[in-house]
Amino acid sequence: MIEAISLAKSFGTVHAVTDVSFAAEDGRITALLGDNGAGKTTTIRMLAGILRPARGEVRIDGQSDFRQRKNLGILSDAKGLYERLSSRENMVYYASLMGIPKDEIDRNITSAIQLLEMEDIIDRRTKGFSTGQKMKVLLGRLLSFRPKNLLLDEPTAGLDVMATRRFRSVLRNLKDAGHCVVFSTHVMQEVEQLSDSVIIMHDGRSLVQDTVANLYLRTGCTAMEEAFVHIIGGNPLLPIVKGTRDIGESHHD
Amino acid sequence: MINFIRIIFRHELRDFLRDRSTLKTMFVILGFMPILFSRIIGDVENRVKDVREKDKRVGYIQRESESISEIIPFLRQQGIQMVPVTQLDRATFVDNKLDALLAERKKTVLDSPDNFSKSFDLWTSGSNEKQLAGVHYIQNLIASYGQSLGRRHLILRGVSPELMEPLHVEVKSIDEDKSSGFAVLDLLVSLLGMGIFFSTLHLAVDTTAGERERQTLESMFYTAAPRTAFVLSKWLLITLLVFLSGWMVGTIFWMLGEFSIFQTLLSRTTTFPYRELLRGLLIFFPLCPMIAAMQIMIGSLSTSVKQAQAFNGVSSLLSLPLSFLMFVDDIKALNWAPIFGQGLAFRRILHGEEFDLAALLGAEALTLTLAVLMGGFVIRRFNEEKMIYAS
Repeated sequence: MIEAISLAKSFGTVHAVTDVSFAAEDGRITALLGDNGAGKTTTIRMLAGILRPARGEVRIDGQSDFRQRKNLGILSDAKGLYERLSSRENMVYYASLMGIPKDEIDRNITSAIQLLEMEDIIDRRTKGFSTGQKMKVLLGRLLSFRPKNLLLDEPTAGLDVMATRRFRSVLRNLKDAGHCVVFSTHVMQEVEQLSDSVIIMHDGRSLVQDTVANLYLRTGCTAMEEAFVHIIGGNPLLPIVKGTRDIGESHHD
Repeated sequence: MINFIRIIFRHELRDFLRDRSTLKTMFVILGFMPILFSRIIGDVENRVKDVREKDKRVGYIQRESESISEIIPFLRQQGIQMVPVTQLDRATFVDNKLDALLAERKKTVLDSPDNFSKSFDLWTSGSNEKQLAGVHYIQNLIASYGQSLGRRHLILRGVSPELMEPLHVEVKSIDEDKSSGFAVLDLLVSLLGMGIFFSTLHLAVDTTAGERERQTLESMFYTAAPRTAFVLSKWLLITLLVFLSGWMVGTIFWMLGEFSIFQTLLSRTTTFPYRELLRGLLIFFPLCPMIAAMQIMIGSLSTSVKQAQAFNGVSSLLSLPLSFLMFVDDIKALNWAPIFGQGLAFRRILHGEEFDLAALLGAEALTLTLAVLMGGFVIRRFNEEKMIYAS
């Protein structure tokens, strides 16, 4: 489980994140939906522990100690790979730095190869890989140590249709296996198809967290794009549907 | 921590060994510099040899003087080719490929009336060092012939020839035949300095600014390995490679002077004992972590690979003092300074002179202090948020 509690972060005079709160539960896919500059990447970097929040707290499985990184796998917007290493070597190196024993790494990589269908590229050096192939290796790198929680920053950016579909399938598999998956995106279609819970971010703030269906009900919209525009436009939301919850300084009454 | 350092070090080493551009850069430096330096020494040696041994061509205007005829057999005996010419001008020099032209100076009323005294002018057509050295060689030959004539005249008059030379000086050397002059030893100091300062430039930039630019560094920071482990691994690898580069460049330089095939190719005949190189490496060893820390520090401070390469290139100029030690040999304070201290001590050892051990140890301590300070700065830098988003 990943929890963000009143996170804030500034870079000089730029207030990248002013107030972000949400909770992403295990066995669910949670989407961070926001326009460009909404603070998604900064939020993910704070969740990942690479940026220190100016205010607020991050909890992974109820703990705020970032030394327990084995439980957290991060795919940030820095999607570089060691080009002189093969896909397998990239995965082994990363998992080794997570402190995973070698035999466990081998097992995880074997299952990652099957899940991601990367038999043809597993022993090839990653130099010259397409965006889709790189994404497979990056995901494989995360699966090589099987973290309970996954944080993905715009994971489908640059992927073609087939690669995106395969990627979504992998995320659903992870969700079914009980993993907590959080991903950021600005693609409305992706949120509709993939997420169990949506956090709408705008101007460094989290405005609302709910399911897609409930957001439609509460905004009176029939598409995610309309609902998103409705919410970030400051329009009032209908009351919370029973069984769901809201967060932060939301715009509902 | 130790386990993480081991894993990262192995990864860095493997990545380095597969990095062809870095390897090429290193091997060009390691191979080219000793060859270049050997060639320089070979040229210097050839120049001296040419001045001494190359057949000299000396023109003379016979019709004007009978005295010259008396010198010609002696000069021919010394291997000088004597070429009769008709006049003294530049064309005569060029056409006959003359090194010098000998002409008797006409006596004036102010000259000595002594019939045994003759004056000659030895003309040359150029003013470069090689030509002048050749002319001086001929001048010395004629002067020595004149001295032997003088001795003969004194003997004929019943005077001891030793009166003519009350003081006699002869240059001798206690050096072994193989240990050559100052040039090769000074070049060894300079070469070692350049080897350790230049060879790892590309690697240090690639492993810091390069990793950041390729976006591989950030993903490593998401692992459980402490960032300090990344710094220490990179620092350790570059330190070892700096030392290895020094050893390789010195060994290649030694080999080029040691084996006949290279001696023939590069015209280099002088060398130095291998133990002197090992001594130099021992003295220079504390410089290795300092250079590695400095190069990594520049890489971590730079916002791009290009910037890091430029700054690291400038920082390599710190090796220059090792090429100009002969000019600062007398400045005692420099014996305590990093780079200068090691260089001056090594130079004195190579030349068989006494060196200030306390000053050398002081320089080594200062060097290691600088290394630790710069290394500490890099660790601090790696733990800053700016390390990720400054680029």
